Amino acid sequence: MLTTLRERTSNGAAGDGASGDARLVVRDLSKTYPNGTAALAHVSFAARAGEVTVILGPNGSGKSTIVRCVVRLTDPDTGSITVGGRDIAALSGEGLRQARREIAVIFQNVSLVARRSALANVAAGCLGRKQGIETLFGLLPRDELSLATRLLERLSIVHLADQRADTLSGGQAQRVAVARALHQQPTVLLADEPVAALDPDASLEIMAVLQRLAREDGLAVVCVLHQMDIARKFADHVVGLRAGVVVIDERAARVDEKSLSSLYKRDA
Amino acid sequence: MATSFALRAPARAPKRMSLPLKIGIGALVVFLIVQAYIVIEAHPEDIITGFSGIVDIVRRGLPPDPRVLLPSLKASLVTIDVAILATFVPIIFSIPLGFMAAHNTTPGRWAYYAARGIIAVCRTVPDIVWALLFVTAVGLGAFPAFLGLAVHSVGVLGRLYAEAIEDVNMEPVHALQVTGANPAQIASQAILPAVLPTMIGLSLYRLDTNVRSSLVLGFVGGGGIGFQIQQALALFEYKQLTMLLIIMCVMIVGIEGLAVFLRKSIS
Ligand SMILES: Nc1ncnc2c1ncn2[C@@H]1O[C@H](COP(=O)(O)OP(=O)(O)O)[C@@H](O)[C@H]1O
Ligand SMILES: [Mg+2]
Repeated sequence: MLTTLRERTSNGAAGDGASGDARLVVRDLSKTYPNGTAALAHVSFAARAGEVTVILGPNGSGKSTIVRCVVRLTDPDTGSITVGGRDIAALSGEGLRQARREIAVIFQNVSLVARRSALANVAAGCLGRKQGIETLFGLLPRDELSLATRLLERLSIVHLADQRADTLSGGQAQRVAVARALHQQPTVLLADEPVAALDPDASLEIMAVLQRLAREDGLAVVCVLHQMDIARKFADHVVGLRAGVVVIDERAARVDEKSLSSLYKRDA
Repeated sequence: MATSFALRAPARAPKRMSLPLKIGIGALVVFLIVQAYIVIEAHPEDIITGFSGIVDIVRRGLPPDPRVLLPSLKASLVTIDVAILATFVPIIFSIPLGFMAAHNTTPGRWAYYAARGIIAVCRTVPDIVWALLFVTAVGLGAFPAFLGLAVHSVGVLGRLYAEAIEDVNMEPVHALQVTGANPAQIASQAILPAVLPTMIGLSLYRLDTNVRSSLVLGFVGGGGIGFQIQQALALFEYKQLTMLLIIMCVMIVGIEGLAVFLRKSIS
């Protein structure tokens, strides 16, 4: 069984209590949509290896915009996004494609290819590094397929390997999405409200999986949430967002209840 | 004039149409119908007076002449084969065209407009005009009929495929994009699986339509059973004509049934 208890490995350690090195560094990120909505204003934060960094904020505060900018599904207006020494905000074409391999994304809604099996969906995670012509026909090397099977085993859903993705439950589908993200062999795992569509039990399970991936695999996990209680339980570092502005950037242990609830106050 | 009016009206129309506008539209519709009736020189009374003529033809067409059965089976095969080839060969061209002509998958502005242009030209020129153009190039027969039908089908399928692609849920597509997959992988591994059932359905529907078109192309020298029907008419061989019409109906119903069966079995 997966533990849902927070392991405070970093609590009380040296200085600010941070453990790993900064894997993802976002600096001065701003984005105004073409319709005039100013979604992000000078957002800066860093996500460290081996930690769960939670981006917390009410609906419409710009959390998804951050995710979309970091993987360049949306182009930021200004700012830099540094991963593995490369500035994703400044790349395009083949350079961008290569840089994207470092970051795996888990979306809020089911993002699996509906008519494909769970296994095929997981194995698609390797397409960034496997570019041969045979991949266009869904043919992948044996070792990639066995890696996909091992990941399904690790997430305790190997019995669903041959099941079509559109027949999976929400929690099962999200586990497949996590397995696909891992198959990508990233250094940063970015999750946009991965539990918003799940029931409370499944939510805690998925969050525990993400936390374990930070601890065991040394991934920098960045998890967007809007639920304070889940954030409290799993965060090592909290970035609080309000109307596109970072108002909290603290070690989880130091964030007090008052500043957290101020995120959700109606008036400014 | 009439079409551009009809196309723009909904976008500009206020929530409730004013009375003068309603009267204006009503008058326009009446005008369109009346002028069409006059222009085509309709004489409904001729149907009544010509009824005996129709009865006469039917009487002379019975019983159907079974001697044309065997040769017409070969001709039916030609008609069907023209339709089959003119459906499957265009698919090869329409899939890339569809991807280029869909705003969510087009590799660029130039590709989008080029693909939309090719599709528009292929589609708007009727298959029969294409076929006649090819007759001047390659002579009479089933081959120019196939070419004409194929070119038109490339346009029709390209447009339908593009619309299907634009309807695809983009979340799985984005998920693959951010793994660092290349555009060809995204198209083949995320978009194609999502649109394939729709594409197969559209193609089978096209096969169905192409059988009828192939028949009509036979009348203008495209060979097949259409040509035989035209010959029987020209030679007043009404008993043969009836037999050919029966075979034609069986053939069309058969292909329709097959298409429905295949569509059902993929969904
Ligand atoms: N494509 C878009 N075009 C215009 N405005 C957008 C778009 N996407 C998001 N927004 C706006 O940007 C703000 C932040 O949205 P989002 O990043 O989705 O917030 P969150 O994920 O925190 O709920 C909201 O006001 C939203 O309405
Ligand atoms: Mg969001």
